[in-house]
Order: sequence, then structure tokens, then C-alpha cells
Amino acid sequence: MSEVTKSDGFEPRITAFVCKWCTYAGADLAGTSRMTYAPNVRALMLPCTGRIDVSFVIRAFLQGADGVIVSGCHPGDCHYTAGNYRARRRWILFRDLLDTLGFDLRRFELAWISAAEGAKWVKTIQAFTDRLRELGPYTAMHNLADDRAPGIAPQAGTDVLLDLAQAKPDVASVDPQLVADIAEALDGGKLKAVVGWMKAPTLNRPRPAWFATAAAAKEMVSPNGTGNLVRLLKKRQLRALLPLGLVARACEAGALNVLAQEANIDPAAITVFTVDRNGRYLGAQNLPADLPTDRPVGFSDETLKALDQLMAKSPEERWTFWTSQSAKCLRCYACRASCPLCTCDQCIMDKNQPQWFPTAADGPGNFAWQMIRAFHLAGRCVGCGACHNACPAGIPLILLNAAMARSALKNFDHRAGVDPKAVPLQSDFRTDDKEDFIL
Amino acid sequence: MSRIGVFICHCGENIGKTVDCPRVAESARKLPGVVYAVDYRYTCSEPGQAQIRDAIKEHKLTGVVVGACSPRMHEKTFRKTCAAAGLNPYLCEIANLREQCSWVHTDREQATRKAIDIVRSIVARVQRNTPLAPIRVPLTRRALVIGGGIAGIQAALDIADGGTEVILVERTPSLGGHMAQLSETFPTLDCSQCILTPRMVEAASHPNIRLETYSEVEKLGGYVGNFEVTIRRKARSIDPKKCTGCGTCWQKCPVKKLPSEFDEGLGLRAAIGIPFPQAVPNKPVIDRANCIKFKNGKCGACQKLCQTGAVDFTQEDEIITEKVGAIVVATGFQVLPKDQLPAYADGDHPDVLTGLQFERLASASGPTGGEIRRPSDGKEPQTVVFVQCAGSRDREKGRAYCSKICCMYTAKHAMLYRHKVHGGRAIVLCMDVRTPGKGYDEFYRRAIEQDGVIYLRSRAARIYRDNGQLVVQAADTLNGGERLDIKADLVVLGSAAIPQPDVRTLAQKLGVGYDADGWLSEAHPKLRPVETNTAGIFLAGACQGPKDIPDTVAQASAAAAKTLALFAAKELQRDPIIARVNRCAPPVFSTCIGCFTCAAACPYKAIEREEIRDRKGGLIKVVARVNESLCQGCGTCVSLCRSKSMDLDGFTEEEVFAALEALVE
Repeated sequence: MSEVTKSDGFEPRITAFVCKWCTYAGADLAGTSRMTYAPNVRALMLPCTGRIDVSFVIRAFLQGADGVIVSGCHPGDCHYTAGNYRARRRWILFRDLLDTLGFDLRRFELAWISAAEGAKWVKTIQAFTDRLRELGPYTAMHNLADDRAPGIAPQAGTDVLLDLAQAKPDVASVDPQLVADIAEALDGGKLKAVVGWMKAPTLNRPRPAWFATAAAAKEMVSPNGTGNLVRLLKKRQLRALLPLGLVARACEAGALNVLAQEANIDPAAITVFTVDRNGRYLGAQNLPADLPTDRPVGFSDETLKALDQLMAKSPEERWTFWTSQSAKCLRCYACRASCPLCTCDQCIMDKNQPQWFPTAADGPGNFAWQMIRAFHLAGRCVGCGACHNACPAGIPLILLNAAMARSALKNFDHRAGVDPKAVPLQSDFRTDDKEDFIL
Repeated sequence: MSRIGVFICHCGENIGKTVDCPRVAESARKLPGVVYAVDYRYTCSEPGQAQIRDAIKEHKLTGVVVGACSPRMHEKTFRKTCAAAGLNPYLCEIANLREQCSWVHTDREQATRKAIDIVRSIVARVQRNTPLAPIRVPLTRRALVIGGGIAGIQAALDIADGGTEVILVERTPSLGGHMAQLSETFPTLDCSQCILTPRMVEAASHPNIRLETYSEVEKLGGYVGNFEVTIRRKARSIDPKKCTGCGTCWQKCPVKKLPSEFDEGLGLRAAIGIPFPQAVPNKPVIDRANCIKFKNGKCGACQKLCQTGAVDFTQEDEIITEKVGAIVVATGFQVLPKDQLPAYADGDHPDVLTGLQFERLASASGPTGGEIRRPSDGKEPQTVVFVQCAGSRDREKGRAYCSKICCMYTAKHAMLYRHKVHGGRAIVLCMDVRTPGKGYDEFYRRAIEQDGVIYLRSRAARIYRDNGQLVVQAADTLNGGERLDIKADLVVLGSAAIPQPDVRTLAQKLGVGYDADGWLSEAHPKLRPVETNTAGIFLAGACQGPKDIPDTVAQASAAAAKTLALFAAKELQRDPIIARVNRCAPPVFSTCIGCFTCAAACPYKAIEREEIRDRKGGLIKVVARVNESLCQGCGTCVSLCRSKSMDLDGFTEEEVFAALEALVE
């Protein structure tokens, strides 16, 4: 595509992802009707907008597109009944993610164009091309690959938003009632084991452990509040120990409901010994736990306030903030390992056939990873903050998760971890999901 | 190593005028994996196709890219060409150089560069293409028809005449449906039962049709060609093998004053009996809720008097399962009950009738023997007001649709009334009159011109009682909205057609869609009006939306044709563009973790659970599996799969990635 450059001015590169049944046919109709439009667009045909993955869009930008357009059948017209409804939900969430990152949303266009709307295709492409000519090349995005570009080199952490990274909960001494309850449950045979925390002589913090007897439970120490033990349920060995007990904060335990929703675990087989943020024991219960109903589950007031502060900045400031933050990423994947809901056996970042995103800890690779991580948790993250606390580079990951959770709540009245029987957010749709951003 | 051949078509001047085809071929020749590239004036012509066939053989091509018109035009042509030369057709892809390049751009240089980009992208894609073969699925040549109204009867007869076995399930004791209740039918005014009952008998006696009346579909499993249906045969309390239908039981039954459902509550029936005299099968059913024997153990008169000993109070529901290959859903509709129209609140007034009640009143086999006598006092009504759109086209009440049949049946009602009560006044209140259909407008004109029916453009506001007199309040909207208070002896509502109240339950059992009103959804409103989105399940009649008899019968025959077409093949064959869940060597088996995010999103319910077990039967892992007979290949699941364990044949991650990456030189 690099050849599409006039000597006298900038010519944007546009990648279009279109569905086979409506927009591709509409674009064909424009040709059959001999309409003309700017030659900057390269269209890739997919069977349905439902097949158009956010990876396609991220990849297109990373490899040099100045604008991306996604288009398919109008709502209700989908050849496959509802692929476009699911796509619409996907783009609502994805656009909110892009917005949080300070991405220039004028460069990402969505349109419903039917097989009869050749003229709409022409108008859309022409207007988009004109807009991108106006905006110029997407230097901010393309500079990600250049680690000497301003904003890409790591900066000293002076931003107020980074205080969140230090806001780790206090650790109190272990509540004797917690130990007593656990000992009773194990002795009475109600539970086969309980997962909690014990002293780690070589570390300056406790480490997770499972306790099978009342005697062993005496070794238990209070959680330090930085890790979510639900993640250990990814381990098959632990799943063999059902019924199982677990020490967790209420929002951490919300992840169990998501696991239940995703058919991995039966929450009835798990007893949660609930503690508050300071390690104070609140009691044992099965899920669903009492969860707040008025805001994204689990996210602290400080986090939501910080998100407000972030969103009050201009998109350019947000972009600079995130590029400088993501530049610190070591790609150690501690965030992934600590997350109870990063459940894949093989992460898409580790797949190399094809390799959608760079694996190197460089600008494009880091940025793609942060986006994919946040997007895969959209509508699932319960806000336990384990990823955030695990990040050795101090990247305020929780803000991206909170942005997605807020989007889910605002747009779909969806709160992750509340209902173990809920349909996964991105699998579901409503015919009246908003679409004011779609042409 | 790929050996790709690239064929750039000039399409005469169509492409060649704005795209420098030799240069595009030249640039393609330099691409990695391309061993042959050529431009030609008309690649779709026989010599052009021969060029492709020869090149495949001569250069041992492993993939073909044709830079030509849109794939929507000639993809099939060129894929066939490749197949003829022994290359798997799915290894041929089209670069759209005409509709999306030469025809829409004017600058030759720019258009040529774009064409070069497109060809490069498609070449990269073809290198990752894998050979695919049409999917073959075995099938059971046997159909299930749900619903024994005219739609179900017609579909069953057509399928059976086509030589295929049919199971016809009807939940009431007799075939017939609503059509059996009608007096005459528009636009010919022929007697409904006269044309329907021979069909009922034909269906019952057809060697290929098995009737399951008084039965309901309980459960459905399987998929197109291979459904397994569970049917509940409700207990009739009668042994149909012994019963001769002599009628002694219902004549002697002491409980005789039950409102007859068939007569819409206007007539009476016994606690045992057949719904109407021409019922098929002519075997009674005991209404256990009202039978004295079932209430307090006494009576048993029917059993004592039955000469063949057919009455069996101990009979129980029976559950049977059957294998079928296709299903026609013909479950019909209901008429909006009067109590759902509070504005016509004197709805409980005996002289306000639903459209269907009036059918019974006018029917020769009805409770009055076809004489128009009002239910309250048996007098002949002198003024009858017909209120159209009673429940239809009313957004505020949540029913925005037009019931389609009411304009015509109201015209018919008014005519029938005028034929029977010569001095009577028939007034129709209507918003407008909709009569599209062969002979329909003529019929409506006849009502006005020959039979003197008075049409007023108005929507009835309410129906009330003034000193015992029924009054219909309306506004004459063609006369300045003047208020009318019409004294009526009888009011007949053009009652809306509504979906069967339990249709959603049935739709969920069958896995077919329904709209906000509850009508079952067709696969495409224009081009696939008979199919549902579940392959192998077809729709007939008013379950899909309000329909008159001719439309119902036409759709039923269409559903039968679809069924027979499905059964005409030796086995089912379909396009291999379907999703797949990856498989790898133990101990991983698949990178799928069984979150089933895909299953929740699949519009075709094509994603199943697969349990991977060890030799001892211990569960190792639960993963998703795509049922290839059900998957239609939209790829929504692939996008939702976080670990990308799902992929779509024909549009794999690798193919899309390659095409995208190659857009940049």
C-alpha cells in the first residue's frame, strides 16, 4: 500500500473489513453502477461482521493503516440472523477501550451498508478518505514502532494516576474466627481442602497454600490482599479437591461466578471464607455473594475516581499517558498469571500461526497486549485488582479494566460476577443496543 | 512450497481500460510462491478457462488467483475450472479488479497500484488455503408435521404424496384446526367444512401418514436429517382400537352442559366426546377435569354402556420417540380473546362476539344451525356493527401488526349476515380496508354494492351499554370526526390474530427463532420465507404470521417441497465453510478450555459439548465441538474465542492474517 502516495500530498491508507452478503455486494453495486470514489481503500471480505475480530483492526493499524472501516448488514438483515448485533456490541466495547487509550476515534469508522446501498458505500469511503486526508498520517500510532519517538520512551512516574499502583490494602493479623471456621469445616468433612495463605520464610509476603486438615489450618496467615486465590482454580489438581474452601474478598470471589458462567466450575462446590479489604473475617458463604449493585463490581472508589481523572484529559494526553505507561511493560505476563479469569490454556499472544501481535516488549507489542488483555476481560473482569498489584512495572492496569466494566454497566447494564447464569456479555445482544456511532 | 498461478483478466476494456493488466501480471510474477502469471483478454471465455486448466497441469499449480470481476460473479465458474483440472476448487480465489477497482476509479496509475495490492493480498491468502470438500451427512427420510390444521394437513399430504413417510402431530383430539370452525370462506363463499373434511379424511387414510392426535411434541434433539423427537400421547381414556365412534357414550354422558371449545363457547358439549361431528379420527376423548368418574369415582355410564369396552379410565400418557429428517411447524394462531380488549369492555357482554364466534354462529353446523340469533336472547339482530382492527395495528397495546385476514372475513361476515337477515343493517367500522389478493377487492366491493353493507371510516373507541342497549362509540373521520353512537343489537369484532400463547415454549424446544410478537421467524423475510434458521425445520401457515387460507396452503406446499427437496438427495451435502475447534496431541487435546462463550453466541445452536475421556472413562477435559450439519459458517464464534481455538474453514485466521499483512508491500 505504500505506493499510494501522491507526490503533491498525503494519501491515507484505508483498510476495510466488510461482510460478504451486504457491504461487499454494496461495493460491487457501486462498481456496476459506475460510481467513482477515492482509490485509497483496500477491502477484505469476511462472511459476516460477526467474524471481524478486534485483532484485525489492531493489526491493520499497527501495520500502517491511517484509518480502518468495518461494515456489514443493517440490524435485522444479517444473513446469519444476528452476527451484526454481536459485532455491534463488540464495537461499542472496543470503541470505549480505544477512547480510554486516547485513540483517535475519527480514524475508526463503522457503517451499515446493504447490498443495495452502493451509493452509501461511495459516500462513506469518500467522506472517510477526505477526513483522513485532513487528519494526515496516523503518526501517533505508527510511532509506536519507534522507541526513540517522544512519549514512547519510559517516563518517570509522576502522574497522579500512578498513585493507584501504590494503593495496596493493609495487612492485618489473621482473624482467629477465620481459622476456627476453616478448621471446623475441614474436621467435619464438609470441605476437602481450603485454599488460603501461609508464611513464606524466604519471601517478605505470604504465599498461597492449600490446607487439608484442621491442624494444618493453624499455619494460615491473613491474606495480604494483593492476589486473588480464585486464579488457582485454573489448576486441575485443585479442582479434584472439591468441595473446596477459599479465602477471598467478595469481589475476588465474584470471579467464581464468571467461571461458573463459562462452564468451568460449580460455585456450589466452593465455600468462600469472605474477608474485607483489611483482612477482617466476614463469614463463610456460597455464591452469589452480596455484591454492590450500583457500580462495576469490585472496583474501589479510588479507581473509579482515577478513571474520571483520566477521562477528563484530552485524547492526546491520554494517548501520551498510555504509551509512556505501556512502554514500561516487560511482557512478563504477571498480569495474566495473576488474573483468575485469564483462563486460556494458550494465550493468543503465544500463538504463532498466525502471530497477530509482536511478542517483543516493544511499542506495538506492548500496546497490542494491553488492548487485548483489557478487551478479553471486558464484561468479565470483577475488579479484584490482582493484575494491577502484580505488575512489577507499576502500570495502572486496573484503569483499563475499570473502563471496560464501566462501559459494560453503562451500555448493557452488565455487571460481571453477579449472576452465574448470565449469558456472556459479548455473546449476547439486544436489538436496541446503541449504535449512534455507526453510519 | 506453493506454486501459485495468477490470471489477470482484461474483461475486454472493462478492466484493461483503467488497470494496466500486463503490469499487474508482471508484478504478481515476482511474488514469492507465484510460478506463473499471465494476462488475458477474457479469462472467463472457454480459451481463458483452458489457459487456467493447462497451466494447472503444466506448472503443477497448488493455487490459482484470478484477477477479474467480483467473486460474486464468477467465483463458481473458476472454481469449477480448477476442479476440472484436478485442483481442489477451494484453492482458487478471485481478486476483484473490476467492481471494486477498474469500474470505480479513473486514474490509471492509482487503479493499477490498487490492483497490484489486491492481487498480492489474495496470492498471500491462497498460499494458506487448504483443500476443502463438501460435507456429507446421512439422513432419515421421514418427516414430522406439527399441527393438524389446514397447513399441517396440506404439508403432510404433499410430503406423503411425494412418497415419504409423515408423522402428523396434533394436540387436540381431531384434525381440522381453525378452518374446521369457519362457516364459509372468502372470496368464494364456499363452505369451509365441505372443502376441508375430505382433506382430513385423506390425511387420515393416506398410507404414508401416521396420525398422532391428542399428542404434543415434548422434546427435540438432533439436527437436520437426523432429528429425534419425543412425543407425548395424552391419555384419551379410550382405546382407539376398540372404539367404533358410535356415539352412545357422549349421548348418554350426564355432564352435558360444558361450553364447547369448538363452538367458541356458544354451544355445549359433554364430558366425553368428539369436538365436532366430522372429527378425524372419530374417537372420543374424556375431559378428565369435568368427568364425574374422575372427580368423585362415581358414574362410569360411558364404560357401562360401551358395547366394545373401549372406555379405559386407567389409561396413562404415553411417551414415544421417533427419528425424522425434517420438520414442518404448522401450529397456527389464536384469535384475540375479548377480555384483552378493555375498551370494548362490554366484552363480557354475550352479544359482543369475536370473529371466530361469529363464524360458529353463521355456520350451518353451529349452535343455531346457521341462523343469526344473538346469544343473549335468541332474537334476530336488526343492526350489527362490525368493529375492525380489534387488537391489530395498535402500537399502544403492543400489537403493531396488521392481522391481514380481518378485512376480508369482516366483509364476509357482513355479507353472510345480509344474506340471512334481509332487512338487517350491517355497519362496518374500519380505519381502512386492505384487500390485496385474487378476487378480494371484488369481494369487498360486492359487500358494499350488492349486499348494501355500510362502511364507515372510523375506529371504534369503546362499546358500552345504555339502558341495556349495546352502543358502539366511534368517530366518523371522513365527516369531520363527528361522534357516532351506534345502537347495535350485536357487535362482531374483527379480532386480531395472535400467536399461540405457548409458542415460545415450542420455539425453544425446537430451537427456532420468534419475533417480538411471538410469530416464528423465517430464515429470510424475502428469499427464505419457509425455512427457519435451524436447518431442516420449515414453517407453514399462520405460526409464522397471520395468513389466509390460500397463503397458508401455498406455504404448506412450499414447506413440503422444501422437505422433499431435502430428501431427494442420497445424503446431505453442504458448503464446507464451517467453524472448527482445534485438536492437538495429548495431553493438551485442544487449546479450547470449554468456556462456551461461542455456544452462547451461535445463532444455529451448532456448538456442542465434547467430553474427552481417558481409557478408564475418566473425564480429562470438556471442549466445544462444532456440529458440521448445523454450522452455517458466520464465524461469530471465532471472533469471540479468546484463545483462538476456534477457526473458520475458508476464512481461517491464517488466511485473513496473510491477506491483511500482504496489503502492505
